[in-house]
Amino acid sequence: MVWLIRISLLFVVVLSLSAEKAVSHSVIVSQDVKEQTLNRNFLFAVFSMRVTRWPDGRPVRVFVLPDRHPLHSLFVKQQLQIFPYQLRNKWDRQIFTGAGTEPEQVDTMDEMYQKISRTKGAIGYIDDSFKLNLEKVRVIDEF
Amino acid sequence: MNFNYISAVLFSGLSLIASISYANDFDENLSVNGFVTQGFFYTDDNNVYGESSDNGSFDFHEIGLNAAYRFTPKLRGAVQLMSRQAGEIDNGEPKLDYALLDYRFTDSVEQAFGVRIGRLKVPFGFYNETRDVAFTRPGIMLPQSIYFDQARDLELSIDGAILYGSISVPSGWLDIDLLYGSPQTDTNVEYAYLSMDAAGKFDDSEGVMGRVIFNSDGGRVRIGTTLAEYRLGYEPAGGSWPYEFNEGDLKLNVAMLSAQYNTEHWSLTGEYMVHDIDWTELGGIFSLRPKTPLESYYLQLQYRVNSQWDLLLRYDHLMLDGNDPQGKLNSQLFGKKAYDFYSKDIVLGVGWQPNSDWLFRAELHNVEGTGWAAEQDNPDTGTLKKHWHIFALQATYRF
Repeated sequence: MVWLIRISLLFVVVLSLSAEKAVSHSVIVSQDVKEQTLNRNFLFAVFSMRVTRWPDGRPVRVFVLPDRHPLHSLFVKQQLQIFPYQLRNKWDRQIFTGAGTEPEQVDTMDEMYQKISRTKGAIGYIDDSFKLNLEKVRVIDEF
Repeated sequence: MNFNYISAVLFSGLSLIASISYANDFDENLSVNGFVTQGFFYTDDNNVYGESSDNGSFDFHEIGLNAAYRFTPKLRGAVQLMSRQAGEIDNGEPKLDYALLDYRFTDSVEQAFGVRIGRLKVPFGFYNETRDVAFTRPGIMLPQSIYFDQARDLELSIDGAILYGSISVPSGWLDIDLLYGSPQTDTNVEYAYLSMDAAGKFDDSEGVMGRVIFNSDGGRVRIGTTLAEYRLGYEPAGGSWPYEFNEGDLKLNVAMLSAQYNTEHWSLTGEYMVHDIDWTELGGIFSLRPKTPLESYYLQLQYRVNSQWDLLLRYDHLMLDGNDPQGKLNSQLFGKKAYDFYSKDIVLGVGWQPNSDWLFRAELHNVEGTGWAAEQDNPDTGTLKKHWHIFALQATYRF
């Protein structure tokens, strides 16, 4: 009887772990970023390019996938709690008034990972299926 | 301080940096963007952007190229060149749209503050700063009651300084812009405010403007107000009545309310403006009615069907004299038709964005009144019709 309970518990734990794993994409930063956690307000301000520096004063380098990429859409809706068109409007307003810039766009997960691992002060997001080398980038949030 | 000079120095400096950085392959601190737009306009009566009532007009394009460079974490520079052909209003000659240095003192979620100097875009309402960038417009033509094309040079850019900031407040944040400078005043401004190319010209001018936008729920709700005061100094050139005025200031006061509600598929936008125009010092033909409160508003509904298609419905109403919405009194005073003093425009539009670089639009306007029909494109104002329609097409590419 005890065995049965233990096995079922193990089963439940494994199942829940894998279920969680299936939906946890990552917000990643380069290793030099000192912050350990980021709240939603900061994340939103950084991705909308309203805040352009880390708290220590160094520039933030933001990387995103194309506007219509499913992971971009998911990230913007779940983490920033707005819609991709709103983000695009903000970026365009800044680019075409000289008030700011837009994030750098990458086309693939591999490019996202490479850019963030090589750029100082970088932030981006990546699909759960991508194998990360955690010596090169750091996971700062999940969604 | 001579802001024109600053702009010119900024521009040459930035182009030099841009060319050097390009030669050096890739520089992460440099960004370059641009766009090309071509429009087509057909009207049954009255003209917009060229002789549109004959066989339609292709006399409309907008080309822009900009570069921005981050010198240090706090200091940026940006410049944009723009060529715009729009009937008789704009002749396509390349112009310096903005050229600025931007220094940001503080940069955090709670508060970010900075200052920009040089030639700056005018932060007026929701759409003015990017009025010539098709990708940022909700349709082919912006609501003409508020963003009238005739006075565009005044509204376009200003040589001066902006103090800007964003501050966290309960349940959202405020975007703040405070501007002081000297606006551009060319012949189009004479058409807009004097209804003619006057003998003299507007010379020494200055303006102050403030805009505050409250953003809530990540920008789902946006409520803003813009207040401005412009003083345009008129310099007579010895012409005769009715083409000449006294030396003095044309005084413009603007108060505007803006509101927007955004959901995934819908955006509902409205703006209301009262624009007091005071001709008292200029006298001349305006002695008949030296002060006028221009009043206008629009309500606009956008529906995003999916990431490629969107629909637009708008009602746009301009009263050149808010105390005389039907134009009857002004018609008697100035010997023009009553419908020259207002415009009511119902707009239906559709947009298609097959990918993120291309945007195509089609638009239909049902217009009553000729309040914003440009004199430049309709030299014989006596033949303007009261009821007219505009059919417009537009293609734009960005890079």
